[in-house]
Amino acid sequence: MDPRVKRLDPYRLEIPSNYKPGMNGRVIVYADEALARDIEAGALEQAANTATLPGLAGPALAMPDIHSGYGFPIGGVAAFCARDGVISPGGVGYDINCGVRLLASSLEAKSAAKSLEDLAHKLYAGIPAGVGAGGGLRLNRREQDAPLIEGAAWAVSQGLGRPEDLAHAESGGALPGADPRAISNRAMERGRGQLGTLGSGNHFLEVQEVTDIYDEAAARAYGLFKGQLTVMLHTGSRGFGHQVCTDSIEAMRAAAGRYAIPLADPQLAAAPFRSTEGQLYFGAMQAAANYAWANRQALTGLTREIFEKAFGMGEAKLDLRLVYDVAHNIAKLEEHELDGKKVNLIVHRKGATRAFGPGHPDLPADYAAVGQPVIIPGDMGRCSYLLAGTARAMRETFGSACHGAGRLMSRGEATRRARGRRIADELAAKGVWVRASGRETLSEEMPEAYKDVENVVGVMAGAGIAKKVARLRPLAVIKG
Amino acid sequence: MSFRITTATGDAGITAEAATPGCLLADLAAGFSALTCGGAIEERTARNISLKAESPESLAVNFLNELVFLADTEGFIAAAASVSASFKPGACELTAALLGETLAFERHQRGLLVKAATYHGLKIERAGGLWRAAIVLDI
Repeated sequence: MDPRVKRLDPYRLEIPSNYKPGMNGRVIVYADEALARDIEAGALEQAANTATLPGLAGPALAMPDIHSGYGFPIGGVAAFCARDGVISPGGVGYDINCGVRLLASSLEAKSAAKSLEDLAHKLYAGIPAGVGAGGGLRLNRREQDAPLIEGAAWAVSQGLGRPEDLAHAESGGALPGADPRAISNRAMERGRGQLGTLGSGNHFLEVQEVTDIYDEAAARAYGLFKGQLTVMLHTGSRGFGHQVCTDSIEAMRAAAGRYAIPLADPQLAAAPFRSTEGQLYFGAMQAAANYAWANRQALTGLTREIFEKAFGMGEAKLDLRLVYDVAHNIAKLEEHELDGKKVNLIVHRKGATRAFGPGHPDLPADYAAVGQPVIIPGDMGRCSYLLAGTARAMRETFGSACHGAGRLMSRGEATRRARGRRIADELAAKGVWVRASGRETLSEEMPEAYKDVENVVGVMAGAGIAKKVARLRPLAVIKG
Repeated sequence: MSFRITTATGDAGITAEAATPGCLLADLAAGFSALTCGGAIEERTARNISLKAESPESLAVNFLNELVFLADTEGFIAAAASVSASFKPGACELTAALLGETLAFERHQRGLLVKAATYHGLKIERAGGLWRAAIVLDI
């Protein structure tokens, strides 16, 4: 590691503000000695680049699952003053409001053990996933605005959820500033048939078991118990959000020139938040975020139907309840305290999860005492975690934490290392049923391709940014 | 045809080299088809693309994003691309005639779902009488 990167304590590193020309502040990287060894030099460079954008508030941040992205690193957080700072599509990513939701059933995993293989087949058949997957909800152009404005509530209105789901989604599953007029026809066309589809790559639907509870009070508030059968769902705004980002990068590259914003990397293209270009992107991004919430809600409806059929139980008895839904690729207008003053900031979380602490007014009443659930998927062979946000996160990270395990290997390296192995059989031997549609998906997504989420979560807990609530073990995984 | 699939940490890329800008872009199109479905596409239907951009880099990104759009909205993948292109500074342009077909998974493999072509580490350069391109795709 570059000798200018200084260790502050066992969980934090500092990239000083003189690390490269044009930085407007320092970068704090959350990593212990072991994780720090795996951080690519390019990812640290990208974290430093984010600090060159105008209007940076406090330090830029990198979470322990950091790896190289475009513009911002994955695992990057940067907040900019709403008054005179910027907004950057590179700080959000192509999959706008990619996120995770966790559902908890009334069942014990051991009582479902015999049905797991059948359930995996039914989920694979019933959840549209992968390249070219059909089966999504097909809306005409006139109908398309409603999910962009209403988000998850739109899917609930279509019978794909319960009204009480909305309180357990970040921002209630919809951002209020969505502007469908800021959306191109191409984005509308890409989004038309993709609501209610999982996608590909690292997106998944996973049936899990709660194996450990670390914080009884928080677990009780979240409705979790040891041995419980849960479902985790990871997807985003699909082609709709990808096109919104593609359109915006082109527009922002031109805007950055007009506003004389120096770009350390073309993917950091940005415009002042208060500018016409900045507001257009913010309106379009919020519409894409709402599309993603509608998508995860629609998949929740499908999942509940499949579970009810697979277990022969009614909705009330199965009670597949939404624990929470988090966004981990997003820019949000939030109020934070900085140097003793309350300020409005555009907080960019790219591969980072909101982690608001106890008492925050944006939390649902039933979680207010314990903090926001922070859902951290691991890999399909080891485990995932449910954490809770802390007061320290509010003071130190703009209420943000990591978003997953973080990739350790490229897709190519993972595929090479998996050659000659039968990943599905290896996982089945560990009691994990896996179904994937892509020819290389299982190799590219094999557990060793990721950092061990235990270490990533350990850094967040050690640093006091989030506390461990529960550990979840995969039982059945559906991938695109 | 000369392209190579490369990998970034979570994503994939294409490198290509060719004697002319048009052949270079055609090679990038072939790389995109290989990534998306492993090839084996037949020349059944035609699509045409015309684009202008300020730089060769923007032209290449926009061209691949057109292919992403066709794949995402129609399932169309090109088996062959005949591209005529000029990399004149400040006034780059291309016209591409694509022959291909709609993905049908009883005949085609499911490859990677490409979200977008990016400017990350993007290079278009001329060296030793050849045009070379390196482009990263978000997966």
